[in-house]
Amino acid sequence: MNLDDIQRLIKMVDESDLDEMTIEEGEFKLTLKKAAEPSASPAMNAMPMMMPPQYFSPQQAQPTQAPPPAAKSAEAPPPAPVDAGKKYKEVRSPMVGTFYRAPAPEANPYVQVGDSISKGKVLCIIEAMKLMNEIESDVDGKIVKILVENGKPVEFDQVLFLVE
Amino acid sequence: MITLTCEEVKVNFSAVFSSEKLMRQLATNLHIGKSVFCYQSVGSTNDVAHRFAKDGARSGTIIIAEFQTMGRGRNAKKWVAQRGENIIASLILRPNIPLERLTHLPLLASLSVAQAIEEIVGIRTEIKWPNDVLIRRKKVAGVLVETSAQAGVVDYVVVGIGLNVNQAQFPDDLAQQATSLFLETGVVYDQTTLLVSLMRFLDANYARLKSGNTESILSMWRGYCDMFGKHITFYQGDSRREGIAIDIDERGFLRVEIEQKEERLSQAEIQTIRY
Repeated sequence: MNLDDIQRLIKMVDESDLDEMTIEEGEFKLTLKKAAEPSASPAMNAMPMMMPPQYFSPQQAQPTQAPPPAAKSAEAPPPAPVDAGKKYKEVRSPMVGTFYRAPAPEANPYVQVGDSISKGKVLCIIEAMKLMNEIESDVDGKIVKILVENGKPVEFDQVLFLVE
Repeated sequence: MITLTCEEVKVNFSAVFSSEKLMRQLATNLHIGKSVFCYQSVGSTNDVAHRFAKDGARSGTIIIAEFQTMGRGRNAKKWVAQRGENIIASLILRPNIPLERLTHLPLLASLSVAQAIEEIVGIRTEIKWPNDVLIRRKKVAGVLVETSAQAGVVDYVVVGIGLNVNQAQFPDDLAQQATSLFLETGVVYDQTTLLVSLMRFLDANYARLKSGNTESILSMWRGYCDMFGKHITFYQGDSRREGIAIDIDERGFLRVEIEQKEERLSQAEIQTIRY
């Protein structure tokens, strides 16, 4: 399955009144989910992608991707623009705490500006109450900016990294 | 499906701890201790727990070792424990609660250790915020809680607990700061009895956390903390600061009065407490 196939699937789910669709084939799993509030956000998110798309063949996908028999909803939201003018993806802090770039004071940082990262890659630690929380990337891309200094406090939802 | 390495299978039989015995002693309705893995020696029980959790180990799984070759505390500080003398355990939890409530876990773990020691040994310990358990100002137990989050969602949490039980000696550089139950009482304790008590308290307190009853955890924890109203010095990164410890807030953050202004700290290395 290539990017075109996935885009085709997204469009199809978008035009249907399905809220969510999952395709599973062996270890490959693709879930397409519509945002809960159609008016407030883009119509869908594609997540999670467990295996690279090429592990999945489009032929096998055909039977599963049939839309449901129910009639299409007239008020289904239009496909959202992919990019709403935002240039970078942001990785934010899920909690109040202290930001660490490395697992220990003498250790190398998890990531540097310019590093290519993929989903699941550990980017930093946020510590609160001696709870060490490794923050994994939820996006693929390249680190373009690290916005917080090592050892500094961070607030909930503060942007930590910009990813291209 | 949990996969064990060849080395782990070879060392899987601990002479001190028995998975079977532990599971038998724990009531079947407990969440914690549903699966117990006992080792003679591992790198670090927290590392094993992370690997098991990623392999899908269920919530409540406990990993116990007689010895760690790479035991560690916060910031990869070494945790030193003599072979077979202590309790080294890591617990896998899948709490499915908002991330901000997970900050109660270090308090919950230290509270459970203090309660178990009180029940089995009869000593009232002190807890130094947030999770060091002390007897006469010396550390008898430490906690290291680790988790990972992607897009704010936590899959599992590892709660590592080290409790010095029968260790009779500590290296010179630690002797002033560390102690054991044996050193404090002259009695050799059965580690399994202590462990079972610890798991029961962990289970009860975890049930409170899950049901949203964090106030009871905080209030019991306060009962063991004797820092409040006292002058403290602490480090935040490289900066040394001081103030009066007031209390903890609803998240467990330390409330400190610094130059007549209150701050709420999510992180601080407490250096001294002026009693």
